[in-house]
Amino acid sequence: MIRIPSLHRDDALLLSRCVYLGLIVLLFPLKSAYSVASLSAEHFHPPLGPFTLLEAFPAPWVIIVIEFATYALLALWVVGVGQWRVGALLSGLLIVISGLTYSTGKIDHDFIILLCPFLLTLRGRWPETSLTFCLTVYFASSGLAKISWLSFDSQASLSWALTYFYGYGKSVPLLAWSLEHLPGWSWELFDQLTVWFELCVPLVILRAFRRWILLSIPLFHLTTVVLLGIDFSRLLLIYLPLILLFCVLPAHTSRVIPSRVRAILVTSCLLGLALCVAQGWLFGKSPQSLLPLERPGLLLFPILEGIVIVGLLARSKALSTKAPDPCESSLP
Amino acid sequence: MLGAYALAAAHCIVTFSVGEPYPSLQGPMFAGHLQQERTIYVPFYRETKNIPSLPAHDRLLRHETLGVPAQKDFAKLAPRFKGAAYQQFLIGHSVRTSNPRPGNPGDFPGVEWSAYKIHAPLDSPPELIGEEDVIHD
Repeated sequence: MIRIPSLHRDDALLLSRCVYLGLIVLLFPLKSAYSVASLSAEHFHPPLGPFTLLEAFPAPWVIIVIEFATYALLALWVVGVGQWRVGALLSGLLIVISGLTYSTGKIDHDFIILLCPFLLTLRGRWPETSLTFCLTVYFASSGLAKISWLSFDSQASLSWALTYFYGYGKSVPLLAWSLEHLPGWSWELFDQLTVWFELCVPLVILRAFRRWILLSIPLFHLTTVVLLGIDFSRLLLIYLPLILLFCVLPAHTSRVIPSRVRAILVTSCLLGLALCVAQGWLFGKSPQSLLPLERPGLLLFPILEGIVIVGLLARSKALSTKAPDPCESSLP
Repeated sequence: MLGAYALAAAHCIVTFSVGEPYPSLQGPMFAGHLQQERTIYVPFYRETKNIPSLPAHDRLLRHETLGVPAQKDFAKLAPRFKGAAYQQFLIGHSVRTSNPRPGNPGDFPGVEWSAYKIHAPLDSPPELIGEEDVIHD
Protein backbone atom coordinates (compact mmCIF):
# COMPACT_ATOMS: atom_id res chain seq x y z
CA MET A 1 0.00 0.00 0.00
CA ILE A 2 1.35 3.43 -0.84
CA ARG A 3 1.50 5.65 2.22
CA ILE A 4 2.45 9.26 2.14
CA PRO A 5 4.94 10.13 4.86
CA SER A 6 3.38 12.16 7.64
CA LEU A 7 5.85 14.67 8.90
CA HIS A 8 6.10 16.92 11.87
CA ARG A 9 6.43 20.51 10.73
CA ASP A 10 9.95 20.80 12.14
CA ASP A 11 10.99 17.68 10.21
CA ALA A 12 9.48 19.02 6.99
CA LEU A 13 11.26 22.34 7.41
CA LEU A 14 14.58 20.63 8.18
CA LEU A 15 14.24 18.42 5.11
CA SER A 16 13.25 21.45 3.03
CA ARG A 17 16.37 23.31 4.11
CA CYS A 18 18.57 20.27 3.41
CA VAL A 19 16.97 19.71 0.01
CA TYR A 20 17.41 23.38 -0.89
CA LEU A 21 21.07 23.42 0.07
CA GLY A 22 21.66 19.96 -1.35
CA LEU A 23 20.33 20.99 -4.76
CA ILE A 24 22.52 24.10 -4.67
CA VAL A 25 25.61 22.04 -3.88
CA LEU A 26 24.86 19.24 -6.35
CA LEU A 27 23.19 20.93 -9.29
CA PHE A 28 22.44 24.63 -9.00
CA PRO A 29 25.45 26.53 -7.62
CA LEU A 30 24.96 30.02 -6.30
CA LYS A 31 25.82 32.88 -8.58
CA SER A 32 28.99 34.79 -7.88
CA ALA A 33 29.20 38.51 -8.54
CA TYR A 34 32.99 38.51 -8.23
CA SER A 35 33.48 38.25 -12.00
CA VAL A 36 31.57 41.50 -12.61
CA ALA A 37 33.61 43.44 -10.05
CA SER A 38 36.34 44.06 -12.61
CA LEU A 39 33.94 45.55 -15.17
CA SER A 40 33.94 49.26 -15.85
CA ALA A 41 30.98 51.53 -15.24
CA GLU A 42 30.13 51.43 -18.95
CA HIS A 43 28.93 47.85 -18.46
CA PHE A 44 26.74 48.77 -15.52
CA HIS A 45 23.09 48.62 -16.66
CA PRO A 46 21.10 48.12 -13.45
CA PRO A 47 17.51 46.94 -13.72
CA LEU A 48 14.68 49.11 -12.45
CA GLY A 49 14.83 49.02 -8.67
CA PRO A 50 17.27 49.57 -5.81
CA PHE A 51 20.35 48.79 -7.90
CA THR A 52 19.84 52.03 -9.81
CA LEU A 53 21.12 53.78 -6.68
CA LEU A 54 24.59 52.50 -7.54
CA GLU A 55 26.72 54.16 -10.18
CA ALA A 56 28.99 51.23 -10.88
CA PHE A 57 29.82 47.74 -9.72
CA PRO A 58 31.15 47.65 -6.16
CA ALA A 59 34.80 47.01 -5.41
CA PRO A 60 35.93 43.35 -5.37
CA TRP A 61 36.48 43.35 -1.61
CA VAL A 62 32.86 44.39 -1.05
CA ILE A 63 31.65 41.44 -3.11
CA ILE A 64 33.99 39.09 -1.25
CA VAL A 65 32.53 40.24 2.07
CA ILE A 66 28.97 39.83 0.79
CA GLU A 67 29.63 36.34 -0.53
CA PHE A 68 31.46 35.25 2.61
CA ALA A 69 28.54 36.46 4.69
CA THR A 70 26.13 34.64 2.38
CA TYR A 71 27.86 31.30 2.82
CA ALA A 72 28.08 31.80 6.57
CA LEU A 73 24.37 32.60 6.76
CA LEU A 74 23.57 29.60 4.57
CA ALA A 75 25.37 27.38 7.08
CA LEU A 76 23.48 28.91 10.00
CA TRP A 77 20.20 28.68 8.11
CA VAL A 78 20.48 24.99 7.32
CA VAL A 79 21.33 24.24 10.96
CA GLY A 80 18.24 26.19 11.98
CA VAL A 81 19.94 28.96 13.90
CA GLY A 82 18.44 32.45 14.05
CA GLN A 83 15.07 31.66 12.44
CA TRP A 84 13.55 34.48 10.40
CA ARG A 85 16.41 36.93 11.00
CA VAL A 86 18.95 34.61 9.41
CA GLY A 87 16.47 33.73 6.67
CA ALA A 88 15.77 37.37 5.88
CA LEU A 89 19.46 38.29 5.84
CA LEU A 90 20.30 35.29 3.70
CA SER A 91 17.58 36.03 1.16
CA GLY A 92 18.62 39.68 1.14
CA LEU A 93 22.25 38.90 0.36
CA LEU A 94 21.32 36.35 -2.30
CA ILE A 95 19.20 39.03 -3.96
CA VAL A 96 22.07 41.53 -3.78
CA ILE A 97 24.46 39.09 -5.47
CA SER A 98 21.95 38.26 -8.19
CA GLY A 99 21.07 41.91 -8.73
CA LEU A 100 24.71 42.81 -9.24
CA THR A 101 25.18 40.08 -11.86
CA TYR A 102 21.96 41.16 -13.59
CA SER A 103 23.27 44.70 -13.78
CA THR A 104 25.30 43.61 -16.81
CA GLY A 105 22.05 43.47 -18.78
CA LYS A 106 20.46 40.03 -18.53
CA ILE A 107 17.86 39.32 -15.86
CA ASP A 108 16.88 35.83 -14.77
CA HIS A 109 13.66 35.56 -12.81
CA ASP A 110 14.93 33.83 -9.72
CA PHE A 111 13.54 36.11 -7.03
CA ILE A 112 11.10 33.45 -5.87
CA ILE A 113 14.00 31.01 -5.41
CA LEU A 114 16.06 33.53 -3.47
CA LEU A 115 13.08 34.43 -1.29
CA CYS A 116 12.62 30.79 -0.30
CA PRO A 117 15.15 30.75 2.58
CA PHE A 118 13.26 33.56 4.30
CA LEU A 119 9.82 32.08 3.62
CA LEU A 120 10.88 28.74 5.10
CA THR A 121 11.61 30.47 8.40
CA LEU A 122 8.09 31.84 8.81
CA ARG A 123 5.79 30.44 11.45
CA GLY A 124 2.70 28.29 11.14
CA ARG A 125 1.53 27.50 7.63
CA TRP A 126 2.99 30.67 6.18
CA PRO A 127 5.87 28.89 4.43
CA GLU A 128 3.65 26.82 2.14
CA THR A 129 1.05 29.56 1.82
CA SER A 130 3.57 32.20 0.80
CA LEU A 131 5.52 29.87 -1.51
CA THR A 132 2.30 28.86 -3.26
CA PHE A 133 1.28 32.50 -3.65
CA CYS A 134 4.69 33.43 -5.08
CA LEU A 135 4.47 30.57 -7.58
CA THR A 136 1.03 31.64 -8.72
CA VAL A 137 2.26 35.20 -9.32
CA TYR A 138 5.31 33.80 -11.13
CA PHE A 139 3.21 31.78 -13.56
CA ALA A 140 0.41 34.32 -13.95
CA SER A 141 2.82 37.12 -14.87
CA SER A 142 4.50 34.83 -17.38
CA GLY A 143 1.13 34.03 -18.92
CA LEU A 144 -0.13 37.62 -18.97
CA ALA A 145 3.04 38.77 -20.72
CA LYS A 146 2.31 36.27 -23.48
CA ILE A 147 -1.27 37.42 -24.11
CA SER A 148 -0.29 38.35 -27.64
CA TRP A 149 0.52 34.67 -28.24
CA LEU A 150 -3.23 33.99 -28.27
CA SER A 151 -3.46 35.72 -31.64
CA PHE A 152 -3.75 33.28 -34.52
CA ASP A 153 -1.74 35.60 -36.77
CA SER A 154 1.63 34.51 -35.39
CA GLN A 155 3.19 31.48 -33.74
CA ALA A 156 5.53 32.81 -31.07
CA SER A 157 6.76 29.44 -29.84
CA LEU A 158 7.85 28.64 -33.40
CA SER A 159 9.74 31.95 -33.54
CA TRP A 160 11.52 31.04 -30.33
CA ALA A 161 12.27 27.53 -31.51
CA LEU A 162 13.77 28.93 -34.72
CA THR A 163 15.77 31.48 -32.72
CA TYR A 164 17.21 28.75 -30.52
CA PHE A 165 17.99 26.49 -33.46
CA TYR A 166 19.41 28.96 -35.98
CA GLY A 167 20.45 31.81 -33.71
CA TYR A 168 21.88 29.91 -30.73
CA GLY A 169 22.69 26.59 -32.32
CA LYS A 170 20.89 24.66 -29.57
CA SER A 171 20.70 20.90 -29.81
CA VAL A 172 17.95 19.45 -27.64
CA PRO A 173 16.14 16.14 -28.04
CA LEU A 174 13.13 17.29 -30.07
CA LEU A 175 14.05 20.73 -31.38
CA ALA A 176 15.46 19.75 -34.76
CA TRP A 177 12.89 17.01 -35.25
CA SER A 178 9.95 19.29 -34.44
CA LEU A 179 11.17 22.04 -36.78
CA GLU A 180 11.54 19.47 -39.53
CA HIS A 181 8.21 17.72 -39.10
CA LEU A 182 5.65 19.78 -37.20
CA PRO A 183 3.35 22.08 -39.22
CA GLY A 184 2.68 25.66 -38.18
CA TRP A 185 -0.73 24.92 -36.67
CA SER A 186 0.85 22.60 -34.07
CA TRP A 187 3.00 25.50 -32.88
CA GLU A 188 -0.12 27.64 -32.63
CA LEU A 189 -1.59 24.89 -30.45
CA PHE A 190 1.56 25.05 -28.29
CA ASP A 191 1.12 28.83 -28.00
CA GLN A 192 -2.46 28.44 -26.80
CA LEU A 193 -1.67 25.64 -24.34
CA THR A 194 1.29 27.53 -22.89
CA VAL A 195 -0.60 30.75 -22.24
CA TRP A 196 -3.77 29.14 -20.89
CA PHE A 197 -1.80 26.79 -18.67
CA GLU A 198 0.29 29.58 -17.13
CA LEU A 199 -2.83 31.68 -16.59
CA CYS A 200 -4.57 28.75 -14.90
CA VAL A 201 -1.82 27.93 -12.40
CA PRO A 202 -3.27 30.36 -9.78
CA LEU A 203 -6.35 28.11 -9.79
CA VAL A 204 -4.20 25.66 -7.78
CA ILE A 205 -5.55 27.56 -4.79
CA LEU A 206 -8.96 26.04 -5.56
CA ARG A 207 -9.25 22.41 -4.47
CA ALA A 208 -11.19 21.35 -7.59
CA PHE A 209 -8.31 22.21 -9.89
CA ARG A 210 -5.38 21.46 -7.64
CA ARG A 211 -4.49 17.90 -8.61
CA TRP A 212 -4.71 18.61 -12.34
CA ILE A 213 -2.41 21.61 -12.09
CA LEU A 214 0.05 19.76 -9.85
CA LEU A 215 0.17 16.92 -12.38
CA SER A 216 0.61 19.33 -15.28
CA ILE A 217 3.44 21.48 -13.93
CA PRO A 218 6.24 18.87 -14.30
CA LEU A 219 4.92 17.90 -17.75
CA PHE A 220 4.89 21.55 -18.81
CA HIS A 221 8.49 22.03 -17.74
CA LEU A 222 9.57 18.74 -19.34
CA THR A 223 7.99 19.77 -22.65
CA THR A 224 9.83 23.09 -22.51
CA VAL A 225 13.13 21.29 -21.96
CA VAL A 226 12.78 18.72 -24.74
CA LEU A 227 11.22 21.06 -27.27
CA LEU A 228 13.05 24.34 -26.68
CA GLY A 229 15.95 23.44 -24.40
CA ILE A 230 14.77 25.86 -21.72
CA ASP A 231 15.39 24.17 -18.40
CA PHE A 232 13.50 25.44 -15.38
CA SER A 233 14.71 22.63 -13.13
CA ARG A 234 16.07 25.25 -10.74
CA LEU A 235 12.45 25.68 -9.66
CA LEU A 236 12.79 22.37 -7.84
CA LEU A 237 14.34 24.52 -5.13
CA ILE A 238 10.73 25.63 -4.58
CA TYR A 239 8.76 22.56 -5.65
CA LEU A 240 10.47 20.01 -3.40
CA PRO A 241 10.17 22.07 -0.18
CA LEU A 242 6.50 22.66 -1.06
CA ILE A 243 5.89 18.93 -1.48
CA LEU A 244 7.54 18.27 1.87
CA LEU A 245 5.43 20.92 3.56
CA PHE A 246 2.28 19.45 2.02
CA CYS A 247 3.15 16.19 3.84
CA VAL A 248 2.75 17.87 7.21
CA LEU A 249 -0.29 16.62 9.13
CA PRO A 250 -1.40 19.09 11.80
CA ALA A 251 -2.59 16.32 14.10
CA HIS A 252 0.85 14.71 14.20
CA THR A 253 2.65 15.75 17.35
CA SER A 254 6.01 13.99 17.44
CA ARG A 255 9.03 14.22 15.23
CA VAL A 256 9.83 11.15 13.16
CA ILE A 257 13.40 11.95 12.11
CA PRO A 258 15.85 10.75 14.79
CA SER A 259 18.41 13.18 16.13
CA ARG A 260 21.25 11.13 14.66
CA VAL A 261 19.75 11.32 11.17
CA ARG A 262 19.19 15.05 11.56
CA ALA A 263 22.84 15.47 12.50
CA ILE A 264 23.99 13.42 9.50
CA LEU A 265 21.81 15.41 7.10
CA VAL A 266 22.96 18.76 8.39
CA THR A 267 26.62 17.71 8.50
CA SER A 268 26.45 16.43 4.92
CA CYS A 269 24.97 19.74 3.79
CA LEU A 270 27.65 21.71 5.61
CA LEU A 271 30.42 19.56 4.07
CA GLY A 272 28.95 20.13 0.63
CA LEU A 273 28.79 23.84 1.27
CA ALA A 274 32.41 23.83 2.45
CA LEU A 275 33.41 22.06 -0.74
CA CYS A 276 31.67 24.73 -2.82
CA VAL A 277 33.45 27.49 -0.91
CA ALA A 278 36.83 25.76 -1.28
CA GLN A 279 36.21 25.27 -4.99
CA GLY A 280 35.52 28.93 -5.49
CA TRP A 281 37.96 30.63 -3.18
CA LEU A 282 40.90 28.29 -2.80
CA PHE A 283 41.05 27.05 -6.38
CA GLY A 284 39.74 30.21 -8.02
CA LYS A 285 37.02 28.41 -9.93
CA SER A 286 33.60 29.86 -10.63
CA PRO A 287 30.78 28.08 -8.77
CA GLN A 288 30.21 24.67 -10.31
CA SER A 289 27.77 21.87 -9.68
CA LEU A 290 29.12 18.58 -8.34
CA LEU A 291 26.93 16.59 -10.74
CA PRO A 292 27.75 17.27 -14.41
CA LEU A 293 24.23 17.25 -15.85
CA GLU A 294 23.81 19.45 -18.90
CA ARG A 295 20.03 19.63 -18.66
CA PRO A 296 19.00 18.34 -15.22
CA GLY A 297 15.34 18.86 -16.08
CA LEU A 298 15.36 15.88 -18.44
CA LEU A 299 15.95 13.69 -15.38
CA LEU A 300 14.40 15.69 -12.58
CA PHE A 301 10.99 16.56 -14.04
CA PRO A 302 10.02 12.94 -14.77
CA ILE A 303 11.05 12.14 -11.19
CA LEU A 304 8.98 15.07 -9.92
CA GLU A 305 5.99 13.86 -11.94
CA GLY A 306 6.39 10.43 -10.38
CA ILE A 307 6.52 11.94 -6.90
CA VAL A 308 3.34 13.94 -7.57
CA ILE A 309 1.50 10.90 -8.96
CA VAL A 310 2.50 8.73 -6.01
CA GLY A 311 1.53 11.45 -3.59
CA LEU A 312 -1.90 11.95 -5.16
CA LEU A 313 -2.58 8.19 -5.33
CA ALA A 314 -1.56 7.72 -1.71
CA ARG A 315 -3.69 10.66 -0.71
CA SER A 316 -6.73 9.22 -2.53
CA LYS A 317 -6.16 5.84 -0.87
CA ALA A 318 -5.80 7.43 2.56
CA LEU A 319 -9.01 9.42 2.13
CA SER A 320 -10.98 6.40 0.97
CA THR A 321 -9.95 4.26 3.98
CA LYS A 322 -10.53 6.65 6.87
CA ALA A 323 -13.15 9.14 8.05
CA PRO A 324 -12.52 12.76 7.06
CA ASP A 325 -10.59 14.77 9.63
CA PRO A 326 -11.34 18.47 9.84
CA CYS A 327 -7.68 19.06 10.59
CA GLU A 328 -6.41 17.35 7.41
CA SER A 329 -3.35 18.82 5.73
CA SER A 330 -3.51 20.93 2.61
CA LEU A 331 -2.56 18.02 0.33
CA PRO A 332 -5.16 17.79 -2.51
CA MET B 1 -6.13 34.04 -6.17
CA LEU B 2 -7.35 37.42 -7.37
CA GLY B 3 -4.42 38.98 -5.57
CA ALA B 4 -2.02 36.78 -7.54
CA TYR B 5 -3.55 37.90 -10.85
CA ALA B 6 -3.56 41.53 -9.74
CA LEU B 7 0.09 41.43 -8.72
CA ALA B 8 1.02 39.63 -11.94
CA ALA B 9 -0.80 42.24 -13.99
CA ALA B 10 0.99 45.02 -12.11
CA HIS B 11 4.34 43.37 -12.90
CA CYS B 12 3.51 43.21 -16.58
CA ILE B 13 2.33 46.83 -16.72
CA VAL B 14 5.51 48.07 -15.05
CA THR B 15 7.77 45.93 -17.24
CA PHE B 16 6.24 46.92 -20.55
CA SER B 17 5.74 50.59 -19.73
CA VAL B 18 8.75 51.55 -17.63
CA GLY B 19 11.24 48.72 -17.56
CA GLU B 20 11.95 45.30 -16.12
CA PRO B 21 12.35 45.56 -12.35
CA TYR B 22 14.53 43.51 -10.05
CA PRO B 23 13.91 42.14 -7.51
CA SER B 24 10.49 41.12 -8.74
CA LEU B 25 8.18 38.13 -8.35
CA GLN B 26 7.44 37.96 -12.05
CA GLY B 27 8.21 34.91 -14.10
CA PRO B 28 10.11 34.75 -17.39
CA MET B 29 8.48 36.81 -20.12
CA PHE B 30 9.21 35.29 -23.50
CA ALA B 31 6.91 37.77 -25.12
CA GLY B 32 8.72 39.17 -28.14
CA HIS B 33 9.15 37.63 -31.54
CA LEU B 34 9.53 38.91 -35.10
CA GLN B 35 6.90 37.58 -37.45
CA GLN B 36 5.20 39.26 -40.37
CA GLU B 37 2.35 37.18 -41.77
CA ARG B 38 3.95 33.85 -42.68
CA THR B 39 7.56 35.06 -42.46
CA ILE B 40 9.67 34.83 -39.30
CA TYR B 41 12.92 36.72 -38.84
CA VAL B 42 15.64 35.45 -36.52
CA PRO B 43 18.18 38.22 -35.81
CA PHE B 44 21.85 37.39 -35.37
CA TYR B 45 25.19 39.13 -35.61
CA ARG B 46 28.54 38.28 -37.13
CA GLU B 47 31.92 39.32 -35.88
CA THR B 48 33.63 41.49 -38.48
CA LYS B 49 36.97 41.52 -36.69
CA ASN B 50 39.17 38.84 -35.26
CA ILE B 51 38.16 38.55 -31.65
CA PRO B 52 40.47 36.56 -29.35
CA SER B 53 38.94 33.56 -27.68
CA LEU B 54 36.87 34.75 -24.72
CA PRO B 55 35.87 32.87 -21.57
CA ALA B 56 32.23 31.82 -21.41
CA HIS B 57 31.20 34.67 -19.13
CA ASP B 58 32.85 37.29 -21.34
CA ARG B 59 31.18 35.85 -24.43
CA LEU B 60 27.80 36.10 -22.74
CA LEU B 61 28.55 39.62 -21.57
CA ARG B 62 29.55 40.65 -25.08
CA HIS B 63 26.39 39.09 -26.51
CA GLU B 64 24.13 40.83 -24.06
CA THR B 65 25.90 44.17 -24.19
CA LEU B 66 25.55 44.18 -27.95
CA GLY B 67 21.82 43.94 -27.47
CA VAL B 68 21.58 47.20 -25.57
CA PRO B 69 22.31 49.67 -28.39
CA ALA B 70 20.33 47.56 -30.86
CA GLN B 71 17.34 47.60 -28.60
CA LYS B 72 17.69 51.30 -27.90
CA ASP B 73 17.26 52.35 -31.51
CA PHE B 74 15.28 49.42 -32.75
CA ALA B 75 12.67 51.57 -34.44
CA LYS B 76 15.43 52.96 -36.67
CA LEU B 77 17.25 49.67 -37.00
CA ALA B 78 14.26 47.73 -38.18
CA PRO B 79 11.61 50.24 -39.30
CA ARG B 80 9.42 47.71 -41.05
CA PHE B 81 8.56 46.05 -37.73
CA LYS B 82 5.89 47.96 -35.89
CA GLY B 83 3.77 47.37 -32.85
CA ALA B 84 4.22 45.16 -29.82
CA ALA B 85 6.59 42.74 -31.48
CA TYR B 86 9.38 45.22 -32.01
CA GLN B 87 8.84 46.86 -28.65
CA GLN B 88 9.52 43.52 -27.09
CA PHE B 89 12.46 42.70 -29.27
CA LEU B 90 14.80 40.45 -27.45
CA ILE B 91 18.47 39.78 -27.95
CA GLY B 92 19.60 37.00 -25.66
CA HIS B 93 16.71 37.90 -23.34
CA SER B 94 18.59 41.02 -22.35
CA VAL B 95 15.80 43.56 -22.11
CA ARG B 96 12.05 43.55 -22.35
CA THR B 97 10.98 47.13 -22.52
CA SER B 98 10.15 49.92 -24.91
CA ASN B 99 12.44 52.19 -22.87
CA PRO B 100 15.78 50.43 -22.85
CA ARG B 101 18.66 51.33 -20.63
CA PRO B 102 21.43 53.38 -22.26
CA GLY B 103 24.41 51.49 -23.58
CA ASN B 104 27.84 52.22 -24.93
CA PRO B 105 28.05 50.87 -28.47
CA GLY B 106 31.75 51.62 -28.55
CA ASP B 107 32.51 48.90 -26.05
CA PHE B 108 32.21 45.99 -28.41
CA PRO B 109 32.60 47.15 -31.98
CA GLY B 110 33.08 44.88 -34.89
CA VAL B 111 29.74 43.17 -35.42
CA GLU B 112 27.33 43.11 -38.30
CA TRP B 113 23.63 42.48 -37.70
CA SER B 114 21.45 40.48 -40.02
CA ALA B 115 18.48 38.11 -39.83
CA TYR B 116 17.54 34.66 -41.05
CA LYS B 117 14.35 34.74 -43.07
CA ILE B 118 12.11 31.73 -42.60
CA HIS B 119 8.85 30.91 -44.34
CA ALA B 120 6.43 29.44 -41.79
CA PRO B 121 3.17 28.17 -43.33
CA LEU B 122 0.42 26.83 -41.12
CA ASP B 123 0.03 23.53 -42.91
CA SER B 124 3.67 22.44 -43.17
CA PRO B 125 7.00 22.75 -41.32
CA PRO B 126 9.01 26.01 -41.56
CA GLU B 127 11.55 26.46 -44.32
CA LEU B 128 14.72 28.53 -44.16
CA ILE B 129 14.74 30.91 -47.13
CA GLY B 130 18.03 32.60 -46.45
CA GLU B 131 19.33 35.83 -45.03
CA GLU B 132 17.84 39.27 -45.19
CA ASP B 133 19.40 42.37 -43.79
CA VAL B 134 16.39 43.92 -42.06
CA ILE B 135 18.46 45.51 -39.32
CA HIS B 136 20.05 48.70 -40.55
CA ASP B 137 23.18 48.97 -38.48
